[in-house]
Amino acid sequence: MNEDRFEMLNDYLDDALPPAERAELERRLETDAELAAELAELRGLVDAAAALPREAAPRRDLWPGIERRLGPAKVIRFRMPGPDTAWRVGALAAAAALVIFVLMSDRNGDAPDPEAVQMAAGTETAPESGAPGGATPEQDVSPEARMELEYAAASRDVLDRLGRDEELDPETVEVIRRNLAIIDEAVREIREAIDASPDEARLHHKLNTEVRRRGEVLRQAADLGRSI
Amino acid sequence: MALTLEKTGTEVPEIAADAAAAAVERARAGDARAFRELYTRHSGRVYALCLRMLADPDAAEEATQDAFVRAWERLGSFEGRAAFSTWLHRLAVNVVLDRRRREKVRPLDRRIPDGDEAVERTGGRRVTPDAAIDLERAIAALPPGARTAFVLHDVEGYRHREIAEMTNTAEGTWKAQLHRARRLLREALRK
Repeated sequence: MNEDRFEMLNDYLDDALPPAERAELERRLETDAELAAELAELRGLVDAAAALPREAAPRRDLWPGIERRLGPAKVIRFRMPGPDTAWRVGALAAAAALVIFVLMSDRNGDAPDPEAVQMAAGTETAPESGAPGGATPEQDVSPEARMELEYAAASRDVLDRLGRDEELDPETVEVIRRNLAIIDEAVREIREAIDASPDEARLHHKLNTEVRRRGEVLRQAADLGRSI
Repeated sequence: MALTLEKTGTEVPEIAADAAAAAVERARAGDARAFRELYTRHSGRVYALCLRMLADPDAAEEATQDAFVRAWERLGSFEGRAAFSTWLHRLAVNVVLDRRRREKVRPLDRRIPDGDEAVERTGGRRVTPDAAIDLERAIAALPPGARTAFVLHDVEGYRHREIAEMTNTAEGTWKAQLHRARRLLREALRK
């Protein structure tokens, strides 16, 4: 079969022929038995492909290998709120921060600037003179608040790095910045709603989702920085 | 009341569909057990897709694992606008394409699944027609580009436009690859 003829039959099968050519081909098919046989053969191949089994069983159970790699995200579990809801939300947020940091710590050791993180989280080493009455972070910063501070520092660090990259379109950085700001606002609003209605399971669920989404956007942003 | 799966025509009772949606929601909230349910439900299709695209059971198993790990990492970005299975399969396609770009997969390692491995499980039937196995072997023997085009278009039902979007390549490229695949398959199956 010549190339043009074969292309035409393929386009006919894929419904990609213009109406006039389609009508012309259908007229030819009525009188050209060889062409009709070629079309039938091609149609048989396409039909057989569409009828192939949709599923196949791997030779071994792949789940254990997957489960091992689920990593820190496994600790982010949504639970129905109970008496210790506040603690759980804090732990959840801290775990999400951990995920962010694990994901951002790339193989080249290009982790977020620890100094910036410490500074934002209030965990930097106290100056020699030491402010009187300076409390340790453990005493005056809740896990949830610390997570927010650490996230803010990591986010700023990633955006700064992307912003300094001359090969990256500033508009792209702006889009990432805007997306993070939108999610940040959503997280803030959900937290306020939780403060007002701490037993609302739906709100905790939404918070978890937004925190995950925020981590994912930041991870992708960090990946972008690495891939350039 | 039942839902009908687009490709297979299989009817899924509504309660099962609800359970699937609930598993997605719980997994999105970080529940690894719910994610395992999703793995159990979808791994057969993801593996079949990876196996056909890579033509290598070892690589297909690794790609299947990669796809599920990536799905777990990105569940937060799944917004439910498409079915979870659609989202997951696209993600699996991207995993395979990334893998191929990264590793230039061993060219045509012909460890093609035998009949038992290619058994159809849909609807509990076990169908192993010789013609299907011949076709599987012929698909596996295609050059990678032609194989990708054929598997995605003719087996999985993606349109050229969708394949072009997933691969960031012109539609015409995939159309040419598909026609090449069909020509090669027709010749192989005539022998």
